[in-house]
Amino acid sequence: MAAQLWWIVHKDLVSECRTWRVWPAMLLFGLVVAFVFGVQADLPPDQRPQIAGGLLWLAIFFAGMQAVDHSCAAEREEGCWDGLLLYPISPAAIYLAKLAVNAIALAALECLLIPAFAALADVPLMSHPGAMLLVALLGNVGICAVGTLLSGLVAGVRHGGSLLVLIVLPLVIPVVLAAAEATRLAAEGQLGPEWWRWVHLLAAFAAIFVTAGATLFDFVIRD
Amino acid sequence: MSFPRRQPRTASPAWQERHKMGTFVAAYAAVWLAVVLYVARLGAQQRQLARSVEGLQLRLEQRDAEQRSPSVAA
Amino acid sequence: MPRTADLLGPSKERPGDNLGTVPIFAQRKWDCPPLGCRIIPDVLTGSLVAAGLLAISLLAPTEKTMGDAQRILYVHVAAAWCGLAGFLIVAASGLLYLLRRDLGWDHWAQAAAEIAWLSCGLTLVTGSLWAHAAWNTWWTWEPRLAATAILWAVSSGYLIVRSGVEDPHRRARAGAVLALVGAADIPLVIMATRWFRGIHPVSPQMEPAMRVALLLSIVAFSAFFGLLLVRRRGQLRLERLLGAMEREADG
Repeated sequence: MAAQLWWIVHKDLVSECRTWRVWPAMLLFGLVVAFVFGVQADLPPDQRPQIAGGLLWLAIFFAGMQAVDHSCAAEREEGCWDGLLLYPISPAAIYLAKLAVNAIALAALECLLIPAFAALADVPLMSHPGAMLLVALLGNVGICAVGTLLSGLVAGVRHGGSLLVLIVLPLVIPVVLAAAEATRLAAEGQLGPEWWRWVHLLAAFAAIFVTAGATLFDFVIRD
Repeated sequence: MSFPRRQPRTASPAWQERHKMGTFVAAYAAVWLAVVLYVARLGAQQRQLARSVEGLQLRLEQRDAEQRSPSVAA
Repeated sequence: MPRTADLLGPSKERPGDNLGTVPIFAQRKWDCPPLGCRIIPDVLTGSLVAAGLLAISLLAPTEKTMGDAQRILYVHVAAAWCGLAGFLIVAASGLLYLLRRDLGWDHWAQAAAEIAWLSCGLTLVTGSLWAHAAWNTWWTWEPRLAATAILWAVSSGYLIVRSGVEDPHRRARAGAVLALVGAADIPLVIMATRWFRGIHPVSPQMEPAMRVALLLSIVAFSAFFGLLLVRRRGQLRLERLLGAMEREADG
């Protein structure tokens, strides 16, 4: 199963590297939001971390949704969907592979956005890299778990792209909120029990959504 | 976890006095309006269904009539 | 004249299945119910609603601090309960559809989703009005309020996604998956006051008369929305029947 997973992940990443259909738009969108925040944030330095966390994760969410939408929609557009289903691989494995690809895309986005936010908004987001890494990883998995499942759902629907953001956002609000709070606390340097509570919440949501997604993906892709 | 970070202000007794009845009426009016609109929509859909039934009945009768007495060729 | 069950065609995806889950006597009951079956639920529900309204306005005493604005509680709690129960029905019906592949369950899901969306919206509106009276603010980011707003947004998304899919079975499947993922929010709404610290009132002190009024209000609201649910589901079933008959008449 690991080989099959790796095959799909590799296929998607290579196809993206050859055509660059989504990543540039996604990264540019994230940068634009970072610029807008940098322009807007006229707060005193001690108050900036409060907004920086929230805006960072909103930027990651909206920019990342472009990549997530593309992961299943492109397969349908290109007619590869049936081919993928004929391949002797379980739907849960397809789901986990697509989840991994989307998480990698979001990780690339974060590698760009976190330094950009740190620089433009003058917020010490990089002061605790280990903490930020953990929050980013769990937040990615949580957002992508819901996004991948629902992207398969709206792939064939009218106006599926805009619909995806509409239906994913309410479901990932707890994830985005927890990640924003954890980021804020990390930027302020308070890595105590409160930070760990938010991280536990993130881990719980990630686990729940990945389990639900792996179970329900079978019903999503069967036509 | 501290919720909320900003405490809402508590209304002064005088302000509350002025707004109590109005708030109560507004809430019930909102509920009543929503229910009325939904029931009206249900009614409209039911009438649409009734029209479809009538149209279908007409078509079936026409079809039966055609089958019973085939039209004479001109 | 073909039988109802034949005309509807396969309501399940597996060939050879027909309207299996609803027994014949129940089919007759909801397709063309005798007068008693049409009137009695309406009359019963109507009297319950009337009793509830009387209880809220006359039986329940005026509260000391909040005055008449406190009476919003009776409608707010009832609407919140209906919204949660409605969405539970949506999720359960969706699950049953995924397991049985019978479109009958999807009708329950669609009807329940409309009711749940309405109830949830009313919960937010009445709660907001109460908050304005009590705290002088229309909204506050508090765990229970946020979770309820999420539930309302999820049910809105559910209805929008359903309206975008033409094929009935694909629509049912999409709805079922979305409802099952969204159902994760229900425990969050219920337990929000216990898991997180917030300002949403939890079990306030109430006189017995107030408790009776609240109970009656919840029962009346549930009966009314339950009636709407059943009627709407009957309507959806009738639509499918008509569609099948029209196809039969054309083809």
